[in-house]
Amino acid sequence: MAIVSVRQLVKRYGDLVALDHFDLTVERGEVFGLLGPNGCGKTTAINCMLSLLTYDKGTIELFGEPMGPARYDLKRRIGIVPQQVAVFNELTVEENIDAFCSLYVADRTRRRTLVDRAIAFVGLGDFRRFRPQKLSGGLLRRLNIACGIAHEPELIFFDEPTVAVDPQSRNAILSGILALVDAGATVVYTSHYMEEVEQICGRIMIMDRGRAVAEGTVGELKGMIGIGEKIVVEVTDLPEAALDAVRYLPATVSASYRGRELHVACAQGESHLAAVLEVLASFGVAPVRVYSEPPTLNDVFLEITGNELRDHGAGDERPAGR
Amino acid sequence: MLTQIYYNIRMTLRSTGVVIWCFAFPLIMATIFMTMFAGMQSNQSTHTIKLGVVEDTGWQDATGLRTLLEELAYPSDAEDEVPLLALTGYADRAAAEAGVRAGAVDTALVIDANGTEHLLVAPSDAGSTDQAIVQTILDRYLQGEELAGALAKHDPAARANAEARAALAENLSGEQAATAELSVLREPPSELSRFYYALLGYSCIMCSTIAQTLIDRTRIAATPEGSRRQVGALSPARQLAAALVASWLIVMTSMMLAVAYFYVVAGISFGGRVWLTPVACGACALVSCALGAFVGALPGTQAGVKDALITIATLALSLPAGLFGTPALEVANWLSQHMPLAQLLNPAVQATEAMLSLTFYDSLAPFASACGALLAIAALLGAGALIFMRRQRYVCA
Repeated sequence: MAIVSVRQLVKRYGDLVALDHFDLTVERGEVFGLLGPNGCGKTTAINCMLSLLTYDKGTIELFGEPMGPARYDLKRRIGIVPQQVAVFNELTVEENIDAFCSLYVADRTRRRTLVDRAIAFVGLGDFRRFRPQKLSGGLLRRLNIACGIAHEPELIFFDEPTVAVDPQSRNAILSGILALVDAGATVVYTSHYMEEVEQICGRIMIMDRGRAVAEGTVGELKGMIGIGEKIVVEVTDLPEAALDAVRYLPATVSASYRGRELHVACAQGESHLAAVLEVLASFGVAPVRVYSEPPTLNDVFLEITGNELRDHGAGDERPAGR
Repeated sequence: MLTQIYYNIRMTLRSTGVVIWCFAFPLIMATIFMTMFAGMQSNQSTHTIKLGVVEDTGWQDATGLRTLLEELAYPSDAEDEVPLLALTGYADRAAAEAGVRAGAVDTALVIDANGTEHLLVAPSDAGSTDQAIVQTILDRYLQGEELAGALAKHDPAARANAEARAALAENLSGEQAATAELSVLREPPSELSRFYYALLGYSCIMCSTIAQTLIDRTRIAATPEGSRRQVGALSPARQLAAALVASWLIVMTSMMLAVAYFYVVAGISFGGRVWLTPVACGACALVSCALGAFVGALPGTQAGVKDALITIATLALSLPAGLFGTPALEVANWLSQHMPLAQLLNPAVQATEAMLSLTFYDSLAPFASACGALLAIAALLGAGALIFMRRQRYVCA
């Protein structure tokens, strides 16, 4: 059953169309990655799904039922881990988790158990009585997560939860998310870090200008773009004629020589490494080092959404009239 | 909702700013007032005036005056009363003059052979308050003597014998000859208590920062915590109610603490009706919450601007309540005469008025009227806040 079902969602801010007939389906138990450049409508889509924001057209169903601002029965089953750390500086770790958990669970005894579990889950046992100012960036992020998941929601939205954390904390957070999914949760995950999306998300949607422009597994997305493997050959010197010859190979999408390295982007299909090396040998160029790698999600993202900068002026925060 | 109220209170009381401005500041100001006013009161206390008298035949013959001065120097009806005069006897005028010059006495009385009274004063100390008091006593006595003389001319029988003279003296100096002071107030009016009451008004407005902060923390995009709370399964109305209840309880506690301090430490009596002060404090706390909600809900306003607005409102509204001394009192009086509506809508003024009327008026109607005005102000501000809140919704696109 689809946990999240969004159909033909339209959201306008005056003349700007933030969501343009946007569709989304998230199945139970999956980690769904929502990618897109800044201002593409990710957060607007999430806010609409959470009923923090009204929309002009379309339908949103969560857990098979229409979502609305007063659907507290559905909200009780949802958790959110916002991008910005949202905790109370005057309360301790334990109190913060309990304060947010109390928005979902009224029973104090049950809440105590849930808070203990959340603290253990994010590994903040030694910091229960610490106030947020005393926590490092990584620990703060973990507290931010604990506040969002303490009530054991079935559907969790993670909005760039690993911004500005060290690799160790990032790994801990990603492992934690996978553990939540193992425990039965469904996760909608947004991030600009392609490698971590590639690492944990089963399915990914790439959004641009308020629309879903690509959707599928990592493999499916990589198959959608024209670029295949990328070959890098380190050489001491490369004659211009040799570079031109590589460019004229049928599978070459682009080739460039910079800093003693020849970079060749090839088309989808078989490996073209042998053909490239053969051309170089014909010009008497001896490779010092050679390696080849498949396209990354980053390549997919850039090819689909383009290379131009997307942040305009004051950023993408804007007020919305209800 | 109870848990939300609990955590709202807890986080507010852990805020150093709130503790300083809303709890400590009124007590510190009251302590400063006490120190200042204690100095003023000590300046107004009575002390004994040292009066020298030349004990010659003139003094012995002036029976009436001598009796009066001895009665003032050795009061018989109040043992612990500080005597107004301390008499020092001198053998002759020269000795009295020497005593005055040496500062042994403040002034000295000489009665010459004609029975005329003279006061001796040192040139360096002429015109002092103590001398003026002695002068007034003498004047009062002489006026009485003159009046008695005039009466005797018209009615010689009035001074015909000792019994008649005693009756005349009794009539001239008895209580029926004096002006009786009657007060329409429950307590003698005190300008000092007004400062304490104005301080309560000031404190009530200052505390509105509590409601403003707590409400900001429940609203979408006003703060990250607010956005997160709004995703929760507790309705926005209940979260708003939790914020308002928490801020009302904190402001009420802060004001009651201040009242207790004024009552117990500063000795402000509240007209013997201190038990009614919670009513006024409750109304003040409501205004505080409503003002905080109103400022908190102002559209498109940054948190720093909201803080500044509350500070400006606190100072501007407290000025007409008379908190800042005599010039402020004059402004308050002028406003009361020329712009009564402005005073009626000023919560700091109404808070002060509530306490003043509680203390000084027999009837509770003025107190009820001030409390009613406070409730009406709270309702107006609350309605404004609700309108702003319903019209806005901010999210990140």
